[in-house]
Amino acid sequence: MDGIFGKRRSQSGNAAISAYGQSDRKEKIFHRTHEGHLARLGAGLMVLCFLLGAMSMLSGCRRGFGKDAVGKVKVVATIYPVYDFVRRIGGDRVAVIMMVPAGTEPHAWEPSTRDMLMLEEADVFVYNGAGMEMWAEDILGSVQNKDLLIVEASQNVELLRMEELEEDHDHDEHDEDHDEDEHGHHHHGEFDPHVWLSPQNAQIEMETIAEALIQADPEHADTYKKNLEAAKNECAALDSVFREELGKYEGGCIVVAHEAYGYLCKEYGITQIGIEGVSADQEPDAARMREIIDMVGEYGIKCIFFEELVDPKVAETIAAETGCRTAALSPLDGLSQEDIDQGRDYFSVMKDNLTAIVASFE
Amino acid sequence: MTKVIEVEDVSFGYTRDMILEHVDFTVEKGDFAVVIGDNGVGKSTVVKLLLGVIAPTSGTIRIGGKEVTGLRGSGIGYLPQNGGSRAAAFPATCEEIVMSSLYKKIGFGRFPGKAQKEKVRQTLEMVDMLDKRKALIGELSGGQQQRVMLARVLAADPEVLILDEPTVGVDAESVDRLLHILHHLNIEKKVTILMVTHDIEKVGPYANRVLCLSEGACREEMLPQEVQVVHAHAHSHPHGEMEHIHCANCEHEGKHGHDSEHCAECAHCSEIPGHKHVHHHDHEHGHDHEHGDEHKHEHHHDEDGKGAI
Amino acid sequence: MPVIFQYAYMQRALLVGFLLAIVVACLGTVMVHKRLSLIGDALSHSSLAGVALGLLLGFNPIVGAMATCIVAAFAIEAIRKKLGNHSELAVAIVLSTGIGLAGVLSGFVRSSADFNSFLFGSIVAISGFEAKLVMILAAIVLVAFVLLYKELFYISFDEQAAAISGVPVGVVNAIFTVLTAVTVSIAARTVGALIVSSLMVVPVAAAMSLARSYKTTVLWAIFVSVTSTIGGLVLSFYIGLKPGGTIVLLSVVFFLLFRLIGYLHGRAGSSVEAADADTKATAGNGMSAANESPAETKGE
Repeated sequence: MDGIFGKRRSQSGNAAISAYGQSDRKEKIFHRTHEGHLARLGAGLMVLCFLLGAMSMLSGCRRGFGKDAVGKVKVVATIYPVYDFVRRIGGDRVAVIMMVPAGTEPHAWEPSTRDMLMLEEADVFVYNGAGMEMWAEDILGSVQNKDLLIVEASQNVELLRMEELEEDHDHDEHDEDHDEDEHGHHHHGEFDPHVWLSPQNAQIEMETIAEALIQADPEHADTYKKNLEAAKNECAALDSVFREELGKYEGGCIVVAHEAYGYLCKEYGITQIGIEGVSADQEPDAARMREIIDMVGEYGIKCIFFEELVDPKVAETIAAETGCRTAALSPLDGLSQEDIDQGRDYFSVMKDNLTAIVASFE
Repeated sequence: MTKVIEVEDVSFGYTRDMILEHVDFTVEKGDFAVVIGDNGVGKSTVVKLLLGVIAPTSGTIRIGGKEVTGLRGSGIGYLPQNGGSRAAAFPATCEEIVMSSLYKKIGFGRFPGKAQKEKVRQTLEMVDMLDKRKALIGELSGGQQQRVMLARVLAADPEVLILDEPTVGVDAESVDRLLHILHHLNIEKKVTILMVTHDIEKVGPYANRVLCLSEGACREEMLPQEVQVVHAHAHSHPHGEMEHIHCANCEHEGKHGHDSEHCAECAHCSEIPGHKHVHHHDHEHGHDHEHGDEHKHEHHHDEDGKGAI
Repeated sequence: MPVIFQYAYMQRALLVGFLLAIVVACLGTVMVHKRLSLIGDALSHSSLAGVALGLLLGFNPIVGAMATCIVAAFAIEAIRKKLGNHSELAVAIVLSTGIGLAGVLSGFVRSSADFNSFLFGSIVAISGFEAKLVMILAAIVLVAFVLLYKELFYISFDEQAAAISGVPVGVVNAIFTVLTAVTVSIAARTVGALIVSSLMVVPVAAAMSLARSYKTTVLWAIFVSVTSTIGGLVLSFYIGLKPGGTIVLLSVVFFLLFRLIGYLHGRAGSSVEAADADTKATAGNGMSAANESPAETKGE
């Protein structure tokens, strides 16, 4: 059988060649004279393919659930805070993947098709919500995995509307309960999504995540409850440190790269002046720059905060103008791989932030 | 006479199919040579070769004794086909355009002085465009644009002028004026002129040389015939009909189904009274009308042409 | 002293904006007439790929941006020569390659910065170093532009004829390719890619609808470019509009205004020309009449 197949194949091959031989002579001539170009083009394409291949191999092995995920609850978390919370509550019972790669500014990030593939093998998908992951709802519509448990971590958090932040920095007291009537799904861009920056909200998110993990893996409910309890204690401790330290500077002002710290400011009675709006990738206008420079002088601000994941140019310009210094303040929406490797996590970064804010007031 | 343009055994093809094979001709100082030939016979290719836009596959081309190796500085004045229309959208005045070709005289990093401005003025006056010197090139008619382009070429005082189909898309008055200027330059300043044209009827009288590019009956020859319109050769022609050599612009060719055939309409080419060397061919004129059919016979003018050289 | 000059960042924005407006308009005049209008877009997107490459391979992303910009600019030159009449395709091809490459490469960037923000600057946030860089760049480009003015004119008008006349076309093109690439990479980082790519085209387009010669085209383009930049900054300072967008929109307003003026004048001009089609004498009068009218319109 094999022999016959082989023969047949070679025959058809010959036929094709002879047909080509009879084809237009001009074409042949074209091929001959353009051989050089084609060869060069081919070589270029090969180099390109090789480069792309090498790169995809470099980064390709990193993503997806490995062998050690067997028997564990497979969780895909979108951004660093929820990733950290899941890790904390789940302990070694869960295998977590952070969807937005470490060190990436999440406001501009969008998932690739491969990123979406990992949702197919996951048990739980945790996202922050409140408009942080604009793409989350879109991709969830196209996920085939029917058993996937979808959790919006911020669903029980009392959200701040963006307008409140932008219109007036001093009036935080609005007791509208937006989230109840939204059934846990918030409209994009309506609320400040950086809920995790107050320890109370972090605790609420952790509770939501714990509930979800218990639902996905009821056998180990006790483990999750125990971990949640420990995390809640840490949140409470963090809260008291913040309250104690910032209490001395109530009414103080911080100038930040983008207005991500609304929840933190509201909780501890300080005010943020954002160079840019709530989203990180906007260009400031000249009038806003002037306003901030004037305010820096007026309030005697000594430090301009920038974010590690955003170019510090604007902060540096204002600092140079006003004689301030610059310092990093992390909104925690993405943590670089180095920081993660160094063992930094939500609580340590929040403490660093506290130190930086206190230092700016002194 | 000094040879200004020398084309020796030049072949050229973009692919293996040669457009020109073993082309030989020379143009001498003070010649007004007209290159004629059917569409697609390679007239534009010859111009490109002379300018150095493309390099011959084999053979050599010399201009003013120097071999043409590239585009640079061959000292030729070149008026491209539809030269003006291509520039119509360009926001430049006639003055600016003419000034551009004084590039070498102005010198690197310097701006035009009085002498150059005067030269531009003179040249524009020569083509009768002085009153439009401040006008944008795009606002002029086709003929006017061409005159400006000619002025640009002439401002550089070229010793050799190459013109590619200068009569196409230009009104009759402008063509007359163009030819008049060229004739003047040719006679007074001994400028060597090589013009590719279909319009032998109009140009012929001013020219002293006609170079006919033709594939001919014998394909393998593919020779352009160097043919002197000079009447002396006409009589040595076996058919006694010089006009058949002027095979340009022969729309009627297709009818005869033969490459080497040239219809009677071609004949009128040489009938126009010449300014210089071109002679009257009255008898041929009559012949043409009376025995039109005869002219549809196959004329092996290829060999005849060679014989003439 | 007006309030606007009391802030160092505005002084720098006005100075750098002024210089870059002139430089970009000059380069734009050359590029538009070489049918390479979108070269600013193509180069800034290519430089994005360079930033990604720099971050990936661990060298300074600005150096990477400059290097890819130069490579991309030469690629445009090379493709342009091959394509002849379709030279504008060269820009589109390089633009697509730049976007594609930047998109693919950005997927691999794991460094601790949003690489978009690394490249695209803001005109109101210019460091002292960048201001100096722009001053040096402006000096070099303007000197080159003035020295090579007639070469550039000739090449833009008729590249082949320029070569025949002995203009070193290759050298001049190479110089301007490098200058354009360096300008785009520096300016994109300093004032933003939007401003560079727009000011390279819109002021030239505006100038062409009004100018009566090549020289005045260049001057009008510079005028529009500078006025839009300064005007945009002033509006941004006093009204609080985004500077980049305001500058670009102002230049578009100039374009529309100039087109309108050109149209009104053109109608008058064409009716004159129609009348003088037969005789030269009237044609001459028509021209001089047409020459006077734009001055009047400009004065308004």
